[in-house]
Amino acid sequence: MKVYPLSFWWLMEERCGGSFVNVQAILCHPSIFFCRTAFALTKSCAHLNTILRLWLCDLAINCKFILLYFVKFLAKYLGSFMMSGQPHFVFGYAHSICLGGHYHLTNQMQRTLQGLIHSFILHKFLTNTSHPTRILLRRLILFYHMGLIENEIPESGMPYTSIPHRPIGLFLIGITQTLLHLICQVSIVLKV
Amino acid sequence: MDLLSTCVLVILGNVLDFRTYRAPTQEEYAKADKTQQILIDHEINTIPVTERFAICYARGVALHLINWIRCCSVITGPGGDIVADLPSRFFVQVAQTLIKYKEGANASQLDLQANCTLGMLTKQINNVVGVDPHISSLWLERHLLPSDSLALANQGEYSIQWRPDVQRKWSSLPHGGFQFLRTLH
Repeated sequence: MKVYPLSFWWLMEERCGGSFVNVQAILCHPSIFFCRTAFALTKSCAHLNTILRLWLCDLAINCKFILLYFVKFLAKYLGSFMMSGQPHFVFGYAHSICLGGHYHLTNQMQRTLQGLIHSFILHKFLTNTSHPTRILLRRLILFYHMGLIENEIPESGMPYTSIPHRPIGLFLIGITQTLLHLICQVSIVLKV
Repeated sequence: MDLLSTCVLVILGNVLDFRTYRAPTQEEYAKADKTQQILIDHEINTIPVTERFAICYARGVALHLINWIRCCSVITGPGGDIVADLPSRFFVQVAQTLIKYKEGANASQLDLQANCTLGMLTKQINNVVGVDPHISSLWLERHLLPSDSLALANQGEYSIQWRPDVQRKWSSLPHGGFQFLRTLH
């Protein structure tokens, strides 16, 4: 169980593709928000100046998007997911116990790469904590190897749908229709 | 590109790990003293030996996958020309963008408080590009590739054609060694 202050500062997961958090118990009022900017949805994370120049320096300009993209937790009924490389912050005015976690998506790995490099370089300026999920990436690559080269993943099983496809013929690079959820859950207490 | 990106992430596994830049006795965010600096210079860091083996093994698997992509596919660029060795080009572009990004972060005078300096990062990247002959030869010509983006230009216009005959040869190779090595992971 970890205790984190509810943050008004931006976060981007340092070692993970994406994150989610779900309110388990409200200590006062059901008022936790997961907020995100419209920024990463509208501009490419690939450019190295994405955050350094455009995002941080133009924060005031982006602030008007924040209100548009408030994602409110509906207490116990809905969780909220943040995509990889999505700048966000957690906001609230009451103590809450939450269940959160991190995941990698097969079809979001390029975005994950970009997000990890941003958070590696900007580190504490961009993220609040680091999570031990490197092992997940190593397991992913072993899984892909088993599926793509060794043919050890049976086509009839669910895991097969998480292997990047290798269709015979022509297709656009970047099209991978499947998802792989590798979730490590953490319990957290969010304190105002 | 998602598969390639996963491979790049795994190959850069210890480069993108802050523990690489810290000596075993060094506190996080503390500056290394003389003894600690000697340890770091000799690659003695806070990553446990067993994990370093796991990183090495996973890096080998990622390079094997990259070789498989090189051999089993024909990739066509936006202009319709065949792109030779796209995986190496992508890796070199990401690696040199990483160095340029670090330079930019240093120049911005943000108080990042990380143990990783530009010199240490460059050293680690120079180490890792040497693990594959295709990548290391392209690294010498890196000035010809973009260094301001973590994605290919006009990425949506690339196309890939798989060569099933070559894929079958790869699939028929024995992989018993992998089963043994996986037990180490």
